[in-house]
Amino acid sequence: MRHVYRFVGFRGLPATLLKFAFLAIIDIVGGIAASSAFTGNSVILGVALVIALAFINYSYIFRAPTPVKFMAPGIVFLIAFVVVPILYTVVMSGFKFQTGNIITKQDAITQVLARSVKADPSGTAYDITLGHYQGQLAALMRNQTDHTVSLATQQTITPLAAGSYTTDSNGVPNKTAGFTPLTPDEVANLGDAVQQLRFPDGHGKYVAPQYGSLAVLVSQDLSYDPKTDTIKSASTGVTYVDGGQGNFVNPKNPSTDFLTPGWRTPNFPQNFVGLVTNPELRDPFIQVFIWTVMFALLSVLTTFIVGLGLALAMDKKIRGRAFYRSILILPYAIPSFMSILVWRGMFNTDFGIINRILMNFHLISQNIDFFNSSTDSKAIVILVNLWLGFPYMYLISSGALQAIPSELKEAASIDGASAWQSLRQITLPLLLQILSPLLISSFAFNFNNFNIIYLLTGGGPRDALAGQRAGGTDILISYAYQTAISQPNARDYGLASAISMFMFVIVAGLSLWSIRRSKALEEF
Amino acid sequence: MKIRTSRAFAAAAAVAMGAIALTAPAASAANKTVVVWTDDQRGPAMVKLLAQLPPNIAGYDIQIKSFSSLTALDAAWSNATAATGPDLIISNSAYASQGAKDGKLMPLTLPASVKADFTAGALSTLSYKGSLYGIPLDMDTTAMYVNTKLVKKMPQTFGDMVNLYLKNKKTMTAGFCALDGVWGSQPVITALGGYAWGIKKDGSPNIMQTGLDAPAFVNNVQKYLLAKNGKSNGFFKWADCTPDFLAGKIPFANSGGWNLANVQKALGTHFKMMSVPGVKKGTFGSPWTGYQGIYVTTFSQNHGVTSGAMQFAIQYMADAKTQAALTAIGNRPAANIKAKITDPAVAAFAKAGSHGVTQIDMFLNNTASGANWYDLLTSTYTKIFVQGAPLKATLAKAAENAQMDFVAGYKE
Repeated sequence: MRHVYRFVGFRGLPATLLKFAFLAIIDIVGGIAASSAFTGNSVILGVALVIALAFINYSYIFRAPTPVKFMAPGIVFLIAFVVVPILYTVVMSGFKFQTGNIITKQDAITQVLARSVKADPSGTAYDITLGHYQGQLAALMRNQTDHTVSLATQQTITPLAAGSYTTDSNGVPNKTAGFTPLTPDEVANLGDAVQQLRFPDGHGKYVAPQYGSLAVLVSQDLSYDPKTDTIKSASTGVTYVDGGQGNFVNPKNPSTDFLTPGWRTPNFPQNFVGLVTNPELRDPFIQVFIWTVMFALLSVLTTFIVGLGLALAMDKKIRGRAFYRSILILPYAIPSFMSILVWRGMFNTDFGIINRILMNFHLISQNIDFFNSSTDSKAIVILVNLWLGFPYMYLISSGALQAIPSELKEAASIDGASAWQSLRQITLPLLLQILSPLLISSFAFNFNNFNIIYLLTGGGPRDALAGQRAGGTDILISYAYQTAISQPNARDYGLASAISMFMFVIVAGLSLWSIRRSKALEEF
Repeated sequence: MKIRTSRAFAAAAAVAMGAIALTAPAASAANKTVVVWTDDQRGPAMVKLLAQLPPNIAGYDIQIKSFSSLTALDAAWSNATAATGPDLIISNSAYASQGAKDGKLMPLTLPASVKADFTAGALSTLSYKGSLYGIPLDMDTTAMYVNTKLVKKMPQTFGDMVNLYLKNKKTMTAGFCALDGVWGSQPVITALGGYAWGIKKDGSPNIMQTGLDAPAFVNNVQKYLLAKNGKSNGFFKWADCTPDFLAGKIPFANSGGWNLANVQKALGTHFKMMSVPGVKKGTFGSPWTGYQGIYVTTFSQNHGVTSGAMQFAIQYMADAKTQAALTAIGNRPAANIKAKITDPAVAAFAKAGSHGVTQIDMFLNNTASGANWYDLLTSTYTKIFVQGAPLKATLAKAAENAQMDFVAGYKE
């Protein structure tokens, strides 16, 4: 035992070596991750990883205070998985960050220019051999249509007469005077420099290699001027300017004539204002908010009533109590997503067991389409959440009942109080005092209970024909997902962040209230 | 060794290892690697293809990364960054407009010789605002599976199918199942005289003409799909009917090559394939014809492999031989019109797709009315067939909403 203590307490040479072995593993893994981050241009992530590694190394190698050693991993993970996502959400709620405005401005400019490259109408293409000519990259080209051969340099394209070049087995020219062809490996080593090559034809077009053996005749309509930060169209003469909303726009017609893709750009407080002023967002948002509060309240209330009732029943000495207790916590032991899917199947219109039972007992003449009725769906959501949640309430109520001194009940009994009076005036007030913080946190949990909604009803039913944008059982978190993320062609991460901020304020407020109510802060 | 000495030594070693890991190159190899993302169906098919017909892209290795489902691929793609994203992605045509809008795809410039191998419809499906973003690989289209244990004589008309069901209602749970949901119900709509949008003389879509409320369609839905109580007569199912079809309780089902193996497993040789027949003999419904494409991503620029990715897409994947081999592996008709199709079942899909309607995702996925085409249809079907809503008014409202979406999609 003593050795174990020394080991766990990081004392002695073996423990020290083990500690540093662990540190070395963390450093290697973290170092590789940071290296990959820097290689992938994720500088912020790379720097954060280096700082985290430095902090961990400092905490364990040097004589940092003992609490720091215990808390170091927790602090790193807290920052990585709680603080950073929250800060990122806060920042993004003030951004136009949606489909069409995802990338950076620099990337957007590159894309806009690349899209203005158009093949000539006849689709002229060339089989090419890349090589060096007069110290520059050049190409020997064979027109795929008329089979004429040319030498293309970055200044001009010169036709070659038959006999002035040789060809490979495919008929592609590969040698001419002064031209040194590159091997396939040398071409591969050039990487994307191949695609940056431009061989002008002297008529406003140019030949652009697509890869080492193919080039096409193209023209480029747009050009970017970094001094004025504008993009000009050669064909129309229009000059596009930064419209301030993440796109280059034609100043004369900014709402319809703009270039894509755009870039993500700050737009605070438009996402929040939109939630209040845009009826397409606001109306369903209000409807969803009301149901979210009702859902969370009803979930807590129903699970608490059932859980408490069972706890009171089990508080008495009855035969087979241990067995019943085991049975009661079974729903808690089964993964909730499995339970939800089973319940979903049970309520299925065509093959669900609920409809079959009702039909067998002649209670209905045709199957009920539960999930196409908003009221039915809401009732089912509450019922399934009751199934999933009552064991928790049963457990905490049982624990709390144990904490209530039996003398109080005995005294009340001696004073002539009935069982109901004892429950109402002694047990319940004391129980609520103990359980209030847990009930509040349960409310906060259900406020964001995405799983049950997504897996059970998908937020539906939604009358798409009537133009409804929110489903009958959508809560704020599923509505945010539905509105802002689930449609691949219309994602709006900025709006989703704004909705998340709204939820965060509510849940954080409830949590704070919960902490104060439990008086946990008194010790600080 | 004193503890203090060992601590200093070990500390130096730990930090050194971290520093080595930090400064060491992430990977080193002779060839550069081009990473291709795809879903659970195309991933294994691509691995087989590369083994059967190795690409000759000098200086580059091709690495296939399969995701467990299309949903998983979607999620990964939407979260892809320069560091994590793929160099190429194989997926449906919706990726063209979505990826182009987000600036995640490279525009492609094809030589005339390559363009000639594909139909204009196939290329336009993978284009956005006049630029091509993907090489069409295979057709996403459907044909009708007929359970020959339940159907002794192949139907000539839509009415034949309905009559067969109504006569055998006690033993059948439905007459027709759209195995792929509302998307797969398109040939039923068109067989009954409906359509999403009209077609102009030049073959382009006429979005000002939506056909969910076409008089012929309204009449035929009333005649063939509704019972006297105004609700479904039980013939047509678009959800939760796959198990019953595979169990031999539904005679007809519409789906694509991706369900061929399931059907063969369930029905053995007791099935035939045909197009969904129309109300008049010799006419047929038109399924959606979408295309899977291979797209070069802008992330390939970050990885310095755009050239290799382009070569793989244009030179290898667009080739007729490659697409014929892929067709043989994946049971989906090749997009390259010169690729030979030998399997009769795949040929049936190609035939059904030949009179299909090009699936324009920009229109179908638009949600200007509050819902895209598919959600709109789900709601419309539910209202009419389950809830018994007035047929004409409901279809008129659906047509109005669809047109709103199509017009908004066109403007994008």
